[in-house]
Amino acid sequence: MLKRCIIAENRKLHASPIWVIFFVLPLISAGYGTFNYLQNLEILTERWYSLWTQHTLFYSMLFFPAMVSAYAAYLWRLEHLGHNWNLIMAAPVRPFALFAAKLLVVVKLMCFTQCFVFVLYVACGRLFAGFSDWPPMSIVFYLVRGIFGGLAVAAVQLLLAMLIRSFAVPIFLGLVGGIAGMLIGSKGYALLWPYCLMQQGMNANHSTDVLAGNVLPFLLACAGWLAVVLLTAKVLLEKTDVKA
Amino acid sequence: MGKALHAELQKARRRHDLLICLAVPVVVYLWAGAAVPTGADELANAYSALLFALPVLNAILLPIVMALIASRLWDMEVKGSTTKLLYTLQSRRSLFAGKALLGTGEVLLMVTLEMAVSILLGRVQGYTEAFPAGPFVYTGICTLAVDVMLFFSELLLMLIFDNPLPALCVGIVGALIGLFSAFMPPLVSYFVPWGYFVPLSCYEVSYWDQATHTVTYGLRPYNWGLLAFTVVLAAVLFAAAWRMMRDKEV
Repeated sequence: MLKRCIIAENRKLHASPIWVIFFVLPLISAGYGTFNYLQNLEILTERWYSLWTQHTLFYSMLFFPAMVSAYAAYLWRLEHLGHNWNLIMAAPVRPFALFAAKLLVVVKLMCFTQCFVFVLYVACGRLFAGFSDWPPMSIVFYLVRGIFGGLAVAAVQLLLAMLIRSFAVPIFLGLVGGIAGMLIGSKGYALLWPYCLMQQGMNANHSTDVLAGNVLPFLLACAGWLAVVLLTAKVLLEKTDVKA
Repeated sequence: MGKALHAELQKARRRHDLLICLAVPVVVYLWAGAAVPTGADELANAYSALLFALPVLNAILLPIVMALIASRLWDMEVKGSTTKLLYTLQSRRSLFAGKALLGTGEVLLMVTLEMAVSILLGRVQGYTEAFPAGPFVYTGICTLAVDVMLFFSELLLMLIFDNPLPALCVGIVGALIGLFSAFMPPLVSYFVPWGYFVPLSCYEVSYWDQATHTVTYGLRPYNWGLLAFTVVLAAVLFAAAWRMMRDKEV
């Protein structure tokens, strides 16, 4: 059942305008990051790490939540049209499978985005910054951690997009969540807010690892937030009536 | 026109658009207020610092918020397939006028609240700098002009595609390009309308001491030329949106 739901969700992505944002946002981020790195070589001296901070600073803090929000809102949009809620709730699948399938598809998109960010980062480093070596393995580690942190963001955004019938409002809330995450993270409470987790995982504004020795609490926070959101979605889908 | 606006206000009753207009100033208050000026020298330059930072915050937030407002106004007609029915009951002109008036009114309310929040921040954090009334009014007018221009560009996209996704994508990408253009050479920023908040700003860094991390902000001449261009661009986008609504088959 879950597999069929995933296939249905994947179909929504065919020739979807969502791919524009998928390609354009990391490209702009990489272009600007490389330009800024090359303009400030006297301050940014840690080569691959410095380039990484320039590539991912704004991306991970502000635009990643907005992008994931757009992915999530797009996948729920069809359900909010007409009487489609009645239709899907009458389908022979567990209601939670609908949510789980959407989450898996958003996570797939998120993984693709992270890979694209990495490809652009390596290409810019080799072609424009003139590095002859390859980036350190820790950058791959940051990217994977970013995906773990992004899981909570994706789940929260899917929950918001499920509850709010408007397409645009969850995206705005995603942006606000990212800004709040920036402020909460700067106060040292990063693990208490899901939108901080991606920022922490990506290590976007530090050349030294901000999570050194604290990976376990970070992973526990990711798992905890994910569990809370999944449980909430399950209860809402299975215990409350839909408004079609 | 009054009836059309009344109808739009009735449609907006349970849409909670006012909450969005309120959310933006709250976010600005929290974000701008997070960096509390501490020393006497910082407090003596605090309004300047605030009016320097405000356009950057606007460049991040407002392209997406304008897409949000435009999509809220038109998406309900798309979802409900109401245009065919509406055009038998009211003229296209009055429907467009109602939407444009309500949207512009919401933008005006949001900008007014945002500027009010700046004054509140000054009072709460005890700024000692004399309140810069002229630059303050100029910043408000510039913010309003850019917001209205972005709102009509997003409304145009909504009318073209009948889908909020392109408008929102343009809003998100525009915010990113606008933010980056703020840190590019000034000439680049003239080609990025989403980031016009920054080149229209009347403050600049006049002194930066790298050793003590002390920044002093100073006034720069008002950019009347760009402001006039923004108003013209807003008018062009308004006309284009109206033409799209007038000529589009339903």
